[in-house]
This record gives sequence, C-alpha cells and structure tokens, in this order.
Amino acid sequence: MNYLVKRIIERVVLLFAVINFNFFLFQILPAIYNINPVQLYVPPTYRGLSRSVLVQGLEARFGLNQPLDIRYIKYIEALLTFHFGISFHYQSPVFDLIAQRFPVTALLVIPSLILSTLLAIGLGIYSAARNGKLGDSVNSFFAILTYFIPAFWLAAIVVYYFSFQLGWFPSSVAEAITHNGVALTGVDYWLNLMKFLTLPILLITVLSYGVRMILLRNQSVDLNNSNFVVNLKARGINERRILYRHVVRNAVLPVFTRVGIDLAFLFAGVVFIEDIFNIPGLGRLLVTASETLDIPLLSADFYIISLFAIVILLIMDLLYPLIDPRVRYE
Amino acid sequence: MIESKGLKVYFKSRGKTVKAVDGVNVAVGQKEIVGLIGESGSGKTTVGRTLLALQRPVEGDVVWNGKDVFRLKGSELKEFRRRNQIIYQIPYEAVDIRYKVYDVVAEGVRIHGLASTKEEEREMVLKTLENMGLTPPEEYANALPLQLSGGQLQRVAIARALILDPEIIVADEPVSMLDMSIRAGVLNIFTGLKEKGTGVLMITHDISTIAYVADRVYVMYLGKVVEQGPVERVVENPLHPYTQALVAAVPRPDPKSKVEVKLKGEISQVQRGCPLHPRCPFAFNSCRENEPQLKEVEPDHYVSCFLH
Amino acid sequence: MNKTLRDLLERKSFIASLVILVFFAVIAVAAPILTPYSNPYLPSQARVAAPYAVPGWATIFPQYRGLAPNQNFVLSIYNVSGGEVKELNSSWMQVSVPASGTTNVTFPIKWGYKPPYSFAFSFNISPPKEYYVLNVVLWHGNKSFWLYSITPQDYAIPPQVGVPNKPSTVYISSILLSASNSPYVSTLSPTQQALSGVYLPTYTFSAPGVYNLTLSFNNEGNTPISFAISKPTFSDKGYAYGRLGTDNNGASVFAEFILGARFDLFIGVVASAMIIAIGLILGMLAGYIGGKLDLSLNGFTDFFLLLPGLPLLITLETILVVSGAITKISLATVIVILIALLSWPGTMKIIRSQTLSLRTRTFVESSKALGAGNFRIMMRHILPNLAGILFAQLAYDVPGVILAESGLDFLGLGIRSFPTWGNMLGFATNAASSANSFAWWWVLPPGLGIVILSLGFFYFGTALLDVLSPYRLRGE
Ligand SMILES: Nc1ncnc2c1ncn2[C@@H]1O[C@H](COP(=O)(O)OP(=O)(O)O)[C@@H](O)[C@H]1O
Ligand code: SF4
Ligand SMILES: [Mg+2]
Repeated sequence: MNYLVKRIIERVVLLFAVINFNFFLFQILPAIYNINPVQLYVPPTYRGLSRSVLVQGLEARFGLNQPLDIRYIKYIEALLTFHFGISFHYQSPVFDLIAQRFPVTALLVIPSLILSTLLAIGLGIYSAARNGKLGDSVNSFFAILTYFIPAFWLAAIVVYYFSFQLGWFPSSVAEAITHNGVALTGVDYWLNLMKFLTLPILLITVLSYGVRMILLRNQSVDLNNSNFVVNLKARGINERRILYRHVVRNAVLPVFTRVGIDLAFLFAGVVFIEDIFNIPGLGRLLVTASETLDIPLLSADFYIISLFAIVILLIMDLLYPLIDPRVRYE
Repeated sequence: MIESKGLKVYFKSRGKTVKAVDGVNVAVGQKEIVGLIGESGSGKTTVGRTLLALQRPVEGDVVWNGKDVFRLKGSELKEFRRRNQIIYQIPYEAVDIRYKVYDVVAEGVRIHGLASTKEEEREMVLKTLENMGLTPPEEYANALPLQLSGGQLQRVAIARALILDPEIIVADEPVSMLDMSIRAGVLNIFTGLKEKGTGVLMITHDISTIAYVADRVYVMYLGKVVEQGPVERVVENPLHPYTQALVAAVPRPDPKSKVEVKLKGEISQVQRGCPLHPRCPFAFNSCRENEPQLKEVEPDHYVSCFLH
Repeated sequence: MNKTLRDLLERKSFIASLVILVFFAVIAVAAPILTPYSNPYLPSQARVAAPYAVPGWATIFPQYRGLAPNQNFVLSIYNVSGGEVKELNSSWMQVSVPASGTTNVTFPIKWGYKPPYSFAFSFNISPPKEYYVLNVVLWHGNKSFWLYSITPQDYAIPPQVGVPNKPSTVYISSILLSASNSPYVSTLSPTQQALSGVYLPTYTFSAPGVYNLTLSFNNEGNTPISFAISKPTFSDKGYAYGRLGTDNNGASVFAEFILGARFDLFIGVVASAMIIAIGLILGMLAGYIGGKLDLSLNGFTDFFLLLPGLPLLITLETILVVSGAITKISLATVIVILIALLSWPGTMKIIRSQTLSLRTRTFVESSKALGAGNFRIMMRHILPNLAGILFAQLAYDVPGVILAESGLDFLGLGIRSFPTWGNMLGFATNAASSANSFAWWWVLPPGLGIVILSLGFFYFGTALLDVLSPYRLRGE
C-alpha cells in the first residue's frame, strides 16, 4: 500500500514535470528565439488591414500578448478543465479536433494491438518451446526483421500491390465509404470502413508484434533456465506442462506491460500509416500541429499522450501485484 | 585490532526486513586466528563485510585501533583499507576476470602507490605469487583467471590481499569451494600468517576447519553469537545445543562423544524467544517467550542458553 | 584480443553481419568512384536517361524486353555515292564533291530495341569556303526524316542552320530539334511540333532494324569542293539505365542509393556515438553512485521516455528552423543533434541497469576493499565490463537513428536537397501513389537498404555483446 502511494506520487510528479516542460517548449522557447507563432499564420495583408494589425489581433485572440506568468496560469487551467482553446491552424476548438479524430485512430490502433499481442504470444511460445532449434531461429529472425522495416515503405508497397494491382481493398477512405458516388450509411458504411482499415491494421500488427514476441521468448528462455523450473523438471513434471503452467504464465507479464506502454504511444506513432493510407487520425493531427507550431493543439496533444501513458502505467502498477504470483505468494 | 560493538545489520527485501546481524560483538586482534562458525545464512559474511566497512550497519560500531571505521575519510580510510583485507569464498567472483593475474595482484600496489617503479612493482607481485606457492610466478602472472583452477585462483586472491601486508584478514570460507586435497595447503597459509603477527577472522560453516586453525571461536546462529570461547573448550566441550549439533554432525574416528544432538528442520526466523527454539531438542516454555543472553559459564567461555 | 576475434569469427551471424556492414561501408567510402554524380537531385545531374528507366539488367524480364539502353558509339562503316571519300586518319575523312554534284555518305546504324527516350548525332566539320548545303537525313526502308540542313553561316534560312567558316561541331539531338532548326519538325502539326522531343524518337527508331544516317553534301557551284568531317557519333538515352534505373527526373537511382548509404551510415554512426556518450555518462553515474543522484537522473530519463518522440523532434526542428537560429549550421547537423538528444533515454536505462548489476558484484567490492576509489572502480572495473553492451548499443542505436531520420525525410521535414534513403523513400512512394507508377527499382533499394543495414548492425551488436561480456549481464 505504502509502495503504491509512493508510485502514484512519483507518476504525478512526472506528469507535472512533463506539463512544465511542454510549457517551456511551446511558449518560452519560441519567446527566447523571438518567434511569434501567429506570424506563421498571418497573410501580408487582409481586407486592407496591415500585417502588424493582423498579428496584434491574433495575439489578442489567442492570449499571446499577455506576460508569460499569466499565460502559465491559463495554460494549467486549460489542462485541468480540458478547455484547450482554439487551434491556430484548424481554427476550431482543439477539444473537438481531438475528439473527432480519436475514434479513427482507436479503430486503427486497438484491433492491431490485440492482434499483434496474440501473434506475439503465439509465436513467442512456439519459439520458447523450440529454443535454439531452426524453427526458433527463423521465427526470431523475422520478428527482429520487423523492427527495422520502415512503416511507410512497407505500407506504400502493400497499398500498391493489394489495392492498386489486385484491387482487394479500397485505396482511399472516400472510395471505401461511397458507392457509385453515393455515401454509404449504416452497416454498409461500417463494413466498408473496416474493409478499408483491414490493410493498415494488418500492417501495424505485423510491424509491431516483433518486440513483444522477442520479449516473451527471452523471458521464457530465462525462466526455463531458472532454478525453480530446473527443480520442477528434476521432479519429473511434464515439460509441456511446465512450459504452459509456469514459464509462459510468468513470461507474459512483461509483455502486457509493454502493450500498455505501446498503447499510449501508438496513438501518436501511427502517423506514417495514416499518411500513406490518407486516414485523418490523431497521428497526422499531431504532426501537422508540430509543423505549424499550433501551440494550443500541441499543448493539448502532448498533455493527453502523457496523461494517457501515466494512467496506463498507474493501472499497471495497480494490477501487477494482482497478477504476478511472486508478489502474491510472498 | 578490530572490534564490533552491538552490531546490527538489517536488509530490506520486498518490504520484509531480514536481520542478518542482530547485536554482535566480535573482536579480532593481531597474531590470532578467530573462528566464526555457523550454518549458511546465519550472517557470518555480513559480519565480516561490516567489520571492514564494506557494509553499513543500522546500529552499532566497528572500532579499529580506537577509531570508528564508518567515520574514516581520505587518507585514513585508505590506510584502513590497506591494513585490513578480505578473502572471498568464490575466487572466480572476487577478481575481475578480464585482467591478467599480474594486474589482479598489482591492483592494490597501484592504488596505494607502494611501488615507485614498474620493476619494483613486478618484483613485489612475482615474489608474493611465489610465496603463495604459485611457481614459476612469471607463468602465473601472465595467465588469465579463468585459466586457473579454484585453488590456484584462491591463492592469487590471497596474494592480492597479502601484497599490501595487512594486519588483519577476513577470510570468508576461503576453502569451502576447494577440493579436500588442497584445503590444508591453503589453510596453512593462514597459520603461517598468524606466526608472523597477522590477525585472521576465519569464517566457515565447517567446524573441523576451525578446530584445525583457530585460537578462539564465535558460533553464530540467525544473526546472533550463541557461544564463544577458546577453540579447545568450544569444540571439546560445546555447551550450546546448536554448537553441540554442529560438532555432532562431524564424523569422528572415536565415537565416545557424550552427546549426540540433532536439530529439527531448517534455519528459520523467529518472532521472539531463543532463536533456536523451533529446532532445539531441549526447548522448554521459557525458551519460547524469553531470549537468553550471553553469559560466562567458565573462564572466557560464553553461552547464551537457558540450560546454563 | 585474439581469442575475442576467434570467438567472433566462429559465429555465422557475425560473419553475415560483417559482410553486410563491410559492403555498405565500402560503397559509402567509394561512392565518389562508383558514381560520377555528386548530387543527383541537382537539375544538371538529372535526365541521364529516361525518367523511370528500368535497370539495365531488368531487360531480361519479358515486360521490359527490348527497352533501349544508353548508347554512344562512332559510326565508322559507311558507303559513298556520287563523289569521293578519303580517310585522313582513323576519325577524320575528306569528302570531295564534284561541281554541281551531290555526294552522299551513308552510315548504317544497327538498332535492336524499342524507341529510345532521345537520340543525338554529332560530328565535327571543317567546311569549304564556297557555298554548300549539307543535309542530314535519317531513313529506314521507305521512311526518311530530313533532320537537319546546314549551310554557311550567312546564307542560312530557317530551318536551315548556319555554320561558321572554320572547324566546328554539329550536334543534332532529338530534344533540341524544333520547327526552327529541323526541316522535318517544321512539317509536323503545331501540337506535334511542341512535343517533337517526345515524338521524334518513336517515329525515327520505331522498331528494331537497320537505320541509315545519310550526310548529303551538295555543291551548287562550278568548282569541286571538299569537306573534312569526323565520323559521326551516335548516342541515345534509353529506357533501361545502369544498375538501378532512374527516378522520375531521370536521375540515376544507383547514385542516389550509394550517396544515401553514405549519408545514412554517417549520421547513424555519429548520432549513435552521441547517444552512447550521453547514455553512458548518465547511466553509469546513476547506477554506480546511486542514492539521490540515481533518483534524479532516473526520473529525468523517465520523463524523457514519456515525451512523444517524433512530434517533439518536429516541433523543435520547426522552432529552430523558423527562428533562423540554424542558418549557421546545416539542417543535417541539427537533425543529427536533435535525434541524439531525444534518443538517449533507452540506452541510459540499459547502461544504468547493467551498472547496477555490476556494482553489486564481488569483484567490485573486492576492489573497494583494496582501497580503490569510486573513480578508479568506474574506470577500471565498471566501464571495461560495459564494453560489450556499449558496442552492442552503438550497433542497436544506428538503425533507430536511420529510421528516425528517414521518417522525417519521408514526411518532408528532413533533408530535401540531396539524396538520403529517407528522401528516396519519400519521393518514390509519393510518385508511386500520384502517378500510379510503381518504380520498384526506385522504391525497393532504399527500404531494403535500411532493413538489411539495420539487421547487419543488430547481429553485429549481438555478437559483440556475447563475446565482450565475460559476466552474463541481464537487462530489465
Ligand atoms: N546484500 C544483501 N541484501 C539482502 N540480503 C542479504 C544481503 N546479504 C546477506 N543477506 C541476507 O542476510 C542473511 C545472512 O547472510 P550472510 O551474511 O551471507 O550469511 P552467511 O555468510 O552466514 O551464509 C541471509 O538471509 C541473506 O539472505
Ligand atoms: S535457550 Fe532453550 S531453545 Fe535456546 S538453545 Fe537453549 S535450550 Fe535450546
Ligand atoms: Mg557467507
């Protein structure tokens, strides 16, 4: 219990540090370099108004003319209330932007996370059971290979081949959700959307299972050599039984921790897939915000990712004693 | 002379406290071999490490020539390190196996700047190796630790300590990992050292080793000293049931020994009472409630047991 | 050392990774020798063949069979009618044209391909003082193309082309021919005239066969005249080029690939070295000194791990670029530094955990017992025992850096002005989706390069880790 409270305080301190860093990054750093972000958005003239008048107007609108300490208070207020303000670039409320795109990315990330974890566990067990044999080597090699495949590259190839050449999948969202120029609705809409998303989901699955599989395999192999398991074997217990009942059950834990962390960062990390498949998701929103120094959007996005990661880490902290037998039996 | 007073060392692991050392007074002087005996896990190694300021106690002091060793700084600490050495149980773990034997042995010389030239250093190293019975020393000096046998490497580890000409050596089960046939040879090094004035704390779980080399002996159980005294008294006439059991476990040529004490179960912590009571064949009610204290039952012979 | 080397060489995976790394290192170092191009993205180094030309060797596949390669040769066989030709030396010949006569010198060209992307003829000429007309005609069977007509400088009426009265070079290229300098082109319809560069090669070299270039020397005066001309050179740019074909600008993909390898390898190693330096210093201090220092350094690292890497990288880059703070240093340098500054936490964590594990080893305590200070222990006992993991991390970090840099390039936020593998991928996949033309010889090499080079580094690092770590260290 004491331990848990300590963990929670640690995590919250971490989040607070991230929030302050973000403020430094988005508000103080540009000030140091004398950049006025709104200048990136102002045309030379507009309706006869001069540029400087426009800049001042925008500054007032976004509160950038206030001193940094007031901005800091407003910033913290915004994060706490989730009223993130208006995006510079998109000219609409940041909260709405994120809320619109969240389901799209979730539709992409969550199925692929589940699939890739299942794949990782299946192949990881296979490899662990065949440790050192050819099957393990080949299996591990392919898992490692997937670390190094640039997502956008494989995506481009796959789109070309499966969508353009073979025509198995629609090649754009627009194509997917319309039929003869008429927008689809209801079940058809979702079916076709999922059909379109199949390819990116499979891609993310293939590109992300490797780390987890290798993790599971290595953990299992280490456990297999541990005194505990050696003792079990000496007692003549069936090796398959040991593998499933003792080794894999313990080795899966770090894999789930990893899944949790991946979940938090995949929301930002699928930008390449979104880019190639032209999916309007969170990843692209974030990259656009970074390119255009869209301060309200950036602050909110960074904050939500960190918050999300921290919440997941906390849930892991809470769950760990419940599922880790070593903690439970002591 | 190194002396501990009311030494307590606790370890925390996963929220639980292990009282590895719980109020121990031991002393090692010049020109004597002091035995420290007890089963594995009774805290012997921890006592040895704490005596040499390699582990901080939660309570108690270690005094070296009148100075608190945990307060030593700078050149005083260096001096303390030079004069007090430790030999570890597993030589392969105690030396950095990527260095040649020469560098392993020379390390202390370099740390303390004992040789002014390379030649002098070389001479010291080779001479010490030779004194350890590692001949020809040039050949051993060039070897890598993993190319040596356990006995040879333990001699290297001893050489590494002796090259600094220490006053006191903590020898933590120096022969327990070695073949029976070569143990006596290594133990003789320590008796030889004693002759020259060095003090040795000989840690072991094997009472025959102690009987062979020690002058005085401390018997430890669960972080506490349960019996202490001159080796003849303690080995010939063990008073504590734990010591009696240790002695009884040693197979002897003449089976005329008086008591054959056997302990039940395995070493395990107790909440209160005598630490041995769950295992002691003589335990009575008081043993479960109160803790016995060390008491002098004959000159220089101390025991902590309600039977005495 | 010898033993370490032997251990390494016993591993198949090490040998394979070594072969890969040496291969890329050699092409990176030898790039200036392997390719004449220094930056294929410069317009002057583009159009070395047709855009999207396939690799030369790909013509063995049926769908690319017959695609023309780049060629360049001297037409040395000829036949003469109506005059006399005398060889002055191996390249020059003298053509004598009788009064009011015409001498035709015809050079057959064996053409074994589909139409080229462009073609050109060139020869040197030393014309007579008298008036003359030299027509250049390309013909095949009954089709003939009056490509060019040359007269002395002051007499030229377009599409005739004037030549000064001294030795000069005539260069006739399908790309440069137009209604104003080519009799044939001037007969085409206006739309075809505008695109003559595209149509000409398909009209003239429409199919495999023997084509003829006739130089027709006309003497309109009453005295015999003579020309000295060099044997013409024929050249063409084709649809099959080099080892890896061309990109959408007709620039050499092979040149881009090896220049990209050079750049990627360089930034990969430099940024990894920086990552290792930061990770080593922080990780070793945190792990060895422990206590409050560890708490703060470890917290600092956890904090960095919590930041989304790519968006942070882009934001910092945007700020630095927009502010103009980086005009003094190149964008590549900024990107390398930013990647290094954002990528060290993982390495720090690993080095910290290894140090924590080493710190509790008996041999470290044994050194302390001898009187060694912290600095000595770190330098003599911790650092050397981290060597394996350091080399391994160096190798493991290189792919990460290359992938990050490629990602930036792909998004158009990285280096655009010269070829990197990331740029190649970005441009190639862009072109593939927009033009619906998938140039595999352009798309595949950079991606495969990244994957294979990364695998090379990975297995190299793993082998080093195994061999250089005498103490089995475990992560986590
Ligand atoms: N560094 C340490 N951390 C945690 N527990 C320790 C440590 N060193 C020793 N212990 C524990 O203290 C007890 C005594 O150990 P030790 O002094 O090694 O006994 P002995 O040398 O008599 O076998 C054991 O229970 C051991 O697990
Ligand atoms: S005090 Fe009691 S339990 Fe402890 S040793 Fe003596 S008789 Fe046994
Ligand atoms: Mg011990």
